[in-house]
Amino acid sequence: MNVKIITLIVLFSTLISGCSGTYHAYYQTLKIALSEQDDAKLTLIEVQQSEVDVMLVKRGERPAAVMALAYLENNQHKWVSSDNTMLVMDKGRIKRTIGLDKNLLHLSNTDFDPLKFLPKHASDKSQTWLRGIDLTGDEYGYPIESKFSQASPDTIQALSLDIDAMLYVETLHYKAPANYLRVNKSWENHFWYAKNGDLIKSIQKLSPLSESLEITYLSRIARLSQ
Amino acid sequence: MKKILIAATAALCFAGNLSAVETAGGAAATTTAVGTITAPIVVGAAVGLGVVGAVVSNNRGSTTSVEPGPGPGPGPGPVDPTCNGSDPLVDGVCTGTTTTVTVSGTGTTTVPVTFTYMPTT
Repeated sequence: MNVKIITLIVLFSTLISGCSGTYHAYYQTLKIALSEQDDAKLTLIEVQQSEVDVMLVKRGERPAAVMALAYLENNQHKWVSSDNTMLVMDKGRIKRTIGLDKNLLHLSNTDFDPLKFLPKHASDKSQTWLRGIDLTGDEYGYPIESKFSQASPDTIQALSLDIDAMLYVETLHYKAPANYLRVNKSWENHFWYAKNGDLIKSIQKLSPLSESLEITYLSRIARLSQ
Repeated sequence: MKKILIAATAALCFAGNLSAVETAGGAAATTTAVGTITAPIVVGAAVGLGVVGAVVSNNRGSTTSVEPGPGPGPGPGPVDPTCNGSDPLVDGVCTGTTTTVTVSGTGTTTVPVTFTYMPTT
């Protein structure tokens, strides 16, 4: 009994001392810094009841956010976030970004993007696709070459569903010459297609040093379950 | 009957297509969106190192106490107040007495008059 009381007193004293002086400030700072922000989540029913198409976007290490389809213009999907950023996409390819710290201004040669022929005309994907990108910060005309690999079966988990999909991997090479040592000249983009041919997920990077954008098309997945 | 079946089939086809049609929300779509994709990333390791540095810095720091310098030293000390002559000092005030002499036809009248003044220190 005495041991319990002494232990409680010591524990209480330790906790009380932690609330005093600068230690409390240290504790609060670490608590904020190390706390993990939660991803935005929607249930299958919420997605089905949504009047607007939605997708889940995880940019880099940030928590995932839900973006909504604002406009469908000229076969381009224009998705917006609650903080007023916009992703302009053509057949799943990010063609332009607005509102990010570094934006993609232009993507050239998009008529020959193999994504436009996937997955129905998979034979066309073997060709090499060369395009140029313009980025904010006076970075213009960076050439990027890419090639798609053979599709492989995979499973996507979203909205508490397991969806059979075909995964296409795009291997990209940054072709711009540099006067300094450059790493990360090559990277991969991933595209998952459902059996009905809908693109349901992708992971893309706009340039070698940009943050990846993991996109899950929730509304399309919800429609698959209907 | 055949027309009704055709119409029903067409309606079902349209319904099927509608379910696959993507819906755009226009400018109001931002109200449907949740979360941000431009939030700054807090690097926990950097903050942790900063806090550790702050703890170490605080522990190594010393407090310099500033002692008050020497004062002007003891003064000449209090001086007893004094009054003129034998005037009494009452409650810090000296009380003096003077005599006023008034000469009239019937005689001479002498009247004592008191006055006060501050003592010298």
